[in-house]
Amino acid sequence: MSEKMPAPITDLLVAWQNGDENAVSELMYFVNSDLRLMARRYLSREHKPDILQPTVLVNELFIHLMGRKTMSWKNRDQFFSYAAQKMQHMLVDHIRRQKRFKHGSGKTRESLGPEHELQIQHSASHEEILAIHEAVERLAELDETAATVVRLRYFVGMTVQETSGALERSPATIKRDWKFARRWLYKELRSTNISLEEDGDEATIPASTRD
Amino acid sequence: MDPERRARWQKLKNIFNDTLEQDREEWPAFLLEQCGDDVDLFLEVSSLLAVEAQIGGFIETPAVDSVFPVQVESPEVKR
Repeated sequence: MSEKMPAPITDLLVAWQNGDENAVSELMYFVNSDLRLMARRYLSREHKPDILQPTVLVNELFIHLMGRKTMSWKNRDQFFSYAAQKMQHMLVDHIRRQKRFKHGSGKTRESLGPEHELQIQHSASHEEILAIHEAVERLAELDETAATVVRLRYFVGMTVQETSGALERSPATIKRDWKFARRWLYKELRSTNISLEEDGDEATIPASTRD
Repeated sequence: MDPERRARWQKLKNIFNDTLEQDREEWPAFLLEQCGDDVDLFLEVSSLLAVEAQIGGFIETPAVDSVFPVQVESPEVKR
């Protein structure tokens, strides 16, 4: 379990549905942490690999999301694949709501002062995340496995090792999917004219060494 | 996806990853050898390798950290 206890999941979901966007931040933080913790447990020798043990928090969230008390999972990777998709959609819904709120407030870039510069940059990053989300959906049509690796790493925040524990695949195969998917998605976004922040060039650490 | 398309996709992924594992100066020769006379495959893998110089840290930072940047993770869950 997470070290700090969150508010009851029902309260967080209700608060979010009522427009409290801080609730989703808390929800995602705890759920992602728990998913990562679960994945790490599979890497430990003590864990029985055939038993799926969602944390109380994750279990409760899924009961709410799926609308039923009992859930059966064929295997571990099916569970984590579902979880990753849910976290992806939760984040994307949050960003879309934020966008609608900003449009509704009537504020424009021009009307905002320099103190809002950070927020403007943040908005651009939101656009990029939405474009990545759509590209990941296109990737899933071609390669569900690679899309799941991206969802777990990018939308849940798992390391290669944790993703390996979640999907019961070797870190080497996770790395291969990740390297391929990163470049495929980058190219995809380029082709749809999404401006990407080019934060790396020849002078920085080569991307391949960070994978 | 039909089996033929799936096999081609897998071949594309394998050749791409195998090429990345070679020394950079070896890429063109290795790629030619792997793709044989399949020009489309050669071009497709080449276009993925071509983003190498620009890709930087693309999607290396989890989306949730960009959206909620104030969150601080405990040291044991550091990436």
